Amino acid sequence: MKSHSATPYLFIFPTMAVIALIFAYPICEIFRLSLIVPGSAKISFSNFQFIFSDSVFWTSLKHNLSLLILVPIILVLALIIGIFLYERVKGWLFHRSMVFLPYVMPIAVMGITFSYLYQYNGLLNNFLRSVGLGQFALNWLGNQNLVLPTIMTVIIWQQTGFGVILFLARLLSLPVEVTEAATVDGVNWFQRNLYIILPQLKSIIIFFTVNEAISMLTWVFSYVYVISAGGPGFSSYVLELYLWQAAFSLRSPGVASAIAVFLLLAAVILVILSFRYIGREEDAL
Amino acid sequence: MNSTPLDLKHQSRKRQFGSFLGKIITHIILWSSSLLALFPIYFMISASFKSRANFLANPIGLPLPPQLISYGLAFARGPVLRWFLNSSIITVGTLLISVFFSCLAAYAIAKMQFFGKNSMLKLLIALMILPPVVLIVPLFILMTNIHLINTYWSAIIMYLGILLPFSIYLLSSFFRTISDELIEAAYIDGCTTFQILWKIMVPLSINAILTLVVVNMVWVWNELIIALVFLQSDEVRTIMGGLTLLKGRYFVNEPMVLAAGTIAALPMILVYLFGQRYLVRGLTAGSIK
Amino acid sequence: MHLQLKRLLVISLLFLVIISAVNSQSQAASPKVKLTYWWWAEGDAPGADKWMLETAKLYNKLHPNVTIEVVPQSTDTFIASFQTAAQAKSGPDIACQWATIPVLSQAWAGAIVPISDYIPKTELKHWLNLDENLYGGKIWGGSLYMIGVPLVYNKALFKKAGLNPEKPPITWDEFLDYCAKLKKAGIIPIGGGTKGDSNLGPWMFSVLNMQYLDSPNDILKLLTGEADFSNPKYGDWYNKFYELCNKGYYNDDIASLDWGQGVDLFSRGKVAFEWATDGNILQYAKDIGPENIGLTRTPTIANAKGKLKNCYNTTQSTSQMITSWCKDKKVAANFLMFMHSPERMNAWYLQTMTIPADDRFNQKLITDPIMKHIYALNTSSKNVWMENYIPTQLDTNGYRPAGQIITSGSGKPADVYEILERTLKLWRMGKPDELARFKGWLGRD
Repeated sequence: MKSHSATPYLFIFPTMAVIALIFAYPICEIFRLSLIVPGSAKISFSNFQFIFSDSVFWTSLKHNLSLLILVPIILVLALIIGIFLYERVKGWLFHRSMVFLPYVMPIAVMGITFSYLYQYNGLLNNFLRSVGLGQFALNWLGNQNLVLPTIMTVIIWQQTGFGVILFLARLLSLPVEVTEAATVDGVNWFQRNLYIILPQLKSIIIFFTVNEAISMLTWVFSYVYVISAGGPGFSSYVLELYLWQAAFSLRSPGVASAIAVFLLLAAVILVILSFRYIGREEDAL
Repeated sequence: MNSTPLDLKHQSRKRQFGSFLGKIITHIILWSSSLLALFPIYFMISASFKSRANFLANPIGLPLPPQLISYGLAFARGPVLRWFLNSSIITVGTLLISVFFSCLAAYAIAKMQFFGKNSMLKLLIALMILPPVVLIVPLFILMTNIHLINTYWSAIIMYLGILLPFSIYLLSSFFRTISDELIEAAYIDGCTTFQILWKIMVPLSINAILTLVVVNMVWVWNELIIALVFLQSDEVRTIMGGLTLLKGRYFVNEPMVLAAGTIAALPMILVYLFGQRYLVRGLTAGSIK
Repeated sequence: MHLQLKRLLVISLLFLVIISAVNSQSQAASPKVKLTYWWWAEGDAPGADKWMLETAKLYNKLHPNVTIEVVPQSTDTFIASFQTAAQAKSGPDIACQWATIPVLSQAWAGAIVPISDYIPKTELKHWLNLDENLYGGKIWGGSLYMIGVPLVYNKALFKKAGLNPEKPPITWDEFLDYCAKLKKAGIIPIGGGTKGDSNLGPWMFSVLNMQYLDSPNDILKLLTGEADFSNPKYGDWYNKFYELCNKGYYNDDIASLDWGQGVDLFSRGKVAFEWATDGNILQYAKDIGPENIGLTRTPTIANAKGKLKNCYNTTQSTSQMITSWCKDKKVAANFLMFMHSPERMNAWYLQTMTIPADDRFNQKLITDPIMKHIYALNTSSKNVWMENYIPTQLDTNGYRPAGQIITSGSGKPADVYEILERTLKLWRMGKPDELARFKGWLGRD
């Protein structure tokens, strides 16, 4: 198509304006803000010194990293459900709808709902006690060691559906011949799934894994804020919450920006590494 | 690219796990998943139709007969309707502008040549992965200084920034599939570029656009942290922000909070029931390269 | 005919001209003033919003050129909202913040002006607890009402445990004894919830640590690092708090309930004791019957030897401030004075049942026996609310999580001291300007 020199630029201008404001400006600013302290014009690393000497920062980072354990769990669950949905037994469309519903529910709403369910004398524990499993009625939200795993279950509840949809869509788009061939050759169900179907899903598994990993590190604020606000103590703090506290409770834009710089660099490194890994995998294929 | 045939009701295929045991296991797994997925939502909705006394006495069972008192209390407790309206305004505003801007940019990327086109595409992909929490502090300070804080615009601009990369990526890959000949013909007929976009590209891509609308709608409506930071006054607060307030400091009423939660979640449930197809397509399209 | 008409026209025109002249004349005489008031009090004193809207209306009747636009704020965000407005130096003309540190921070930031500059001493001397906002010899925020934090108990549950409902515990050891007896009778002694943004940790700091201090200024040594938690003056109260938790005197789900749910336990008659605000008490009276409401002060700890030991815990809670960008500061001050007029203060009491912060308040209006008791407690002695005197960081990132750790059984006082020390160290490092301000403020005399 003939290109008029001005038109394309006109068409991308609104988008670039928004991107400049929403991305370029803040990214430069967080670097600048993180290097200054109130009352002095010189560059100073004290904001970074602050966060690195704060045990809550390391605790938060540890928690974010421990959230990564969810990625294989959600992956496996989503694969299992996806594969069973692929069987297309009676009612599979209904099940698919139900499994995906949690993903569109607002976290704010479900966080509150789950926190009522998980209270020490709440629904779950009362149920366990009534069927004689009282010893399993633990203090899900009130015990420092349990609160983060409890929040994890909510994340699993929501995110699994996303994976199911992805994998199922891929499976349904597979050419029928591939799977038919396996049946004919007398391969049993497990072997079929493991050795024939699963490899077909490789690229989408990688996409899902990277997506979820990044979410675990940078997109879990809502869950924590609504369910536990980081407590008890600091046992469910995550980096986003730590940033939030630094910005609005400690009211130090310098410290908050230092955390933002850290998160940004971490995300960038993660993505570069994963692209390199994906690149290598695809080269190998 | 977006032709994954998900509604394969008519495709009959020999089921592999045909044995009776296999079927039982399949049903068990699927039913367990569905029930686990549904239960918290059921709990919330059923509790919202109980009075507090009923809720404490009977937390799990069905609300028979259903009572509306908790909804009444929710509306009395805070300007729930106002919050709901604010969420709607922000969502619709963001959608309209993002679709408009995305169509423009996607058209340019898909069908035009210009300097920096490839870099722009790479930039957009990179931005899709950037964690938005990183952007909040400087933008909060900026918006405060230019007095945009506590206005709809502050949130709308934020959401635009976050949604545009994905939207443009999706639309441009779809626009690319529209034949060049069609566009050339229209151009020769004397259409301006804008008219081509409006009269040809958009109608042909209506499915992709609808998909975009549904995915973005769900994202904006459910969003929390940006809404909390930029929309702090009751006049502009969203329903999600309002919910965190209702959880209240001084007195508690669980069914009331869950009633407000049901109100907040209702649009998403409705969008899901009617727009499931688009939602699924939209989310899967981004991944299948 | 025509002449008549012409004359009529001329007269009406003249009439119109005169009217508009008079109108603009009166406008020039008293220009229109509109004040925006970011108001919060409903959470402390239900009925406050209605009172305020009426007050604004009444003032407008008296001064037709002044309109007060009342904008009720929400509890969880009115601090942050004002801080945002202060940064932009625009927004409300009058606003509310929690007393002392939140008010003084704004003074230090230049966002507000001292009300003592605009309200005469003769008037201010009637307002109670103003020293909560005293800095540099000026008063920076005005008080409106008093909220106390008594220890409320359920008389019916006392009877059930064989305790005398008219004799609440006075000393800490008596308190422990009562709790033991209650627990034996199968009653949960104390109610509370510490999850999320609950304030229980800082509250216990306020009611217990106070007893070890001679004056609020004593906390400065802790803030500067001159003293630490190994000093019993600042650390021993945790042993008492820990004792309550360790002996199981709190409800077993305290760590998984949020603040409101903890408050609610008393309403449902599930616990015998609860630390609550005056505002809560009235709701409790509705829930369990006024004849079952018992009120007492926080029991006194034997080895606490501070001069503040016998003080009560009442604070003005929120203060009214005039912003530095307000264009009509004198009018704003006049409005605040109007809020303190006898008729308005009496109306405040009748509508919200909380004590007005004005010594001209007509006590005879208090007929309700529970309110009488509350009034007696609030005016019985000097009042100090220690939470007002610590930096926000120590409150939300120190005493609050510390409270969660103690009540969830996840740590002992020694563990908590470590966390608090860390928070203080980081505060000193991250906010040296705030530290300097604190020194200047609390280090006087």
